Amino acid sequence: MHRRINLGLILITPGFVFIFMFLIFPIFYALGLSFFNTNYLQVEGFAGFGNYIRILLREETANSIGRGLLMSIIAAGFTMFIGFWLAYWVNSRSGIMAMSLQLVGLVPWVMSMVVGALLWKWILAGDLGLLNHLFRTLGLPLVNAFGNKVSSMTSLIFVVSWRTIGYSMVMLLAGMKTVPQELIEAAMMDGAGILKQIFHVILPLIKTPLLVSGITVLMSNINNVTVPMVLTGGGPVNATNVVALELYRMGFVNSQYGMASALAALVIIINVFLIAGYMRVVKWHF
Amino acid sequence: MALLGNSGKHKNILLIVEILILLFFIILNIVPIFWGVLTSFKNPRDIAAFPPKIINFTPVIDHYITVIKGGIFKAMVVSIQNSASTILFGTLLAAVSAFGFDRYKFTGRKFLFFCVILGIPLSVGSSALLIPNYLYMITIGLTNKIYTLPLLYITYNLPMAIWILKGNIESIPISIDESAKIEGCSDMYIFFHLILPLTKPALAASALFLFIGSWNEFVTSSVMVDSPHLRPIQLSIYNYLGFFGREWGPLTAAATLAIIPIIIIFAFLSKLLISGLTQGSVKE
Repeated sequence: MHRRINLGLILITPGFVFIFMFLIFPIFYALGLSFFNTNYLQVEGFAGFGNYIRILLREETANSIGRGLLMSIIAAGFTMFIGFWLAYWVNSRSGIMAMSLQLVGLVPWVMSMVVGALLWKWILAGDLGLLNHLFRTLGLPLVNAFGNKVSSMTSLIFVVSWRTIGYSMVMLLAGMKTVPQELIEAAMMDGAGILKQIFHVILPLIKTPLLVSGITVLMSNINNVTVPMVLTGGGPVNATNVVALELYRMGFVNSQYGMASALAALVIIINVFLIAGYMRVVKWHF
Repeated sequence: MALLGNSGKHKNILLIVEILILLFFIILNIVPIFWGVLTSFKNPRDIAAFPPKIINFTPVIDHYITVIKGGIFKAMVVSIQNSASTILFGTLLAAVSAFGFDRYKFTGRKFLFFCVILGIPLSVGSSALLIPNYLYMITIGLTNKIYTLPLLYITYNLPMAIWILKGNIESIPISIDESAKIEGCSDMYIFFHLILPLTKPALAASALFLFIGSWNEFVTSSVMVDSPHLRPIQLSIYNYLGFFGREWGPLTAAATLAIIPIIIIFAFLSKLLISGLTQGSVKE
């Protein structure tokens, strides 16, 4: 392995420059900028913690963070739970259902979020949507999926989970395939019921894919701007204005870049915990 | 689940419930596409009809003509350009980096590789970085250029691509390199003529991630480019939402055009996608 010392460094430099310049460095740039006053795009002097105080005094800051976390955690929990059962089922079967479930499972994940959210908006929205057609056929009262706080948030959580269920299923299924069938059979012989098998045999053995996919889904939800933007636009009023969307609006609609950098720094702190978790569980060592 | 049933009849009912639940999930996954494609071929009266028309309508292509006149092909060309350059430079950079990380020892190798892996969750959270990235790109004058989006898309998907390729190069026995060395082959010859051909599936998997990442990306494009001739497909669809409002015909037509390439590629390469996704969390 030990060849010329510098060639390896030369080979990794171009790729690394990209990652450093556009992924790692901007974090520090944001942290720095959050301590300055900005007027549109001009930096106008040191602000200390001014931006932080200003965003913390806004009621919408805490509210949007709360909404963002609520939406992300519920959606991720839902995704992991359903993803687990689908994977469990597919793993124990073969045949056309298992095949098609695997095949279509990733479709929502490879579809762009703009298109996914747009198509669901069309299904859920108004009297002409497919959902209300279905309810009308079944004789149920019609729903207004984006009409009130609760229904709007429910729709958002639904679409956000819909997007990631297939991904978690694929990840967990790959993990389950490595669990030796004899272990499960041995547990069954010992009289372990289905829940015991899951909690004492399967879950401990698929810990890595479980945590990797769980953290990835949670992160992708917290940082999801597109789905709330297309599906609900944050409304009604601010009911689905999650923190990622609030951040986007503060910066790109209201041009309050100093404050937005401070809010970005807060969101980055949330992300740092999740990234640290990811780096701990993922198997990256040489 | 079937284990819960004791009697044969009980078992059958459970099996039916099970199958219904799974069928529901299969339908849930594809119903938006199905309904969207159907809507895109209906005239406005059929779109609004109740009961909803599934087959009993005359397909029309008016909505496609509307969005084509609205410049959707131009946007598709931009997206194709972005994706092509992202795939080309992304896989090349990733392959070279992965080769460097796997076959050479150098100071800081572990730390630098750590930073690359760190890039994977970082790019998942890239929208939190959008504000800083935007201000930073403005400062260095890189916004609203033809290469702005490819540059960012390469970066966001590079960590994953490097990782997929590193995992693959790892599995190629080092003895191949060594014997080639003895024969007098240069390092670059080994890379291009021995290693690269052996990593074809991993190269394809990386290319797939780069493609999906660049074709589907929306939020970054919505702030980083401004000129109409630089707007990719997802941004155009978002703009149609404001423009067409509740006219679902043109909207679903645009959406259908945008998912065609993804669905075609997914149909052929879903195995590769899964192998890439599960990298690092499942031992092969």
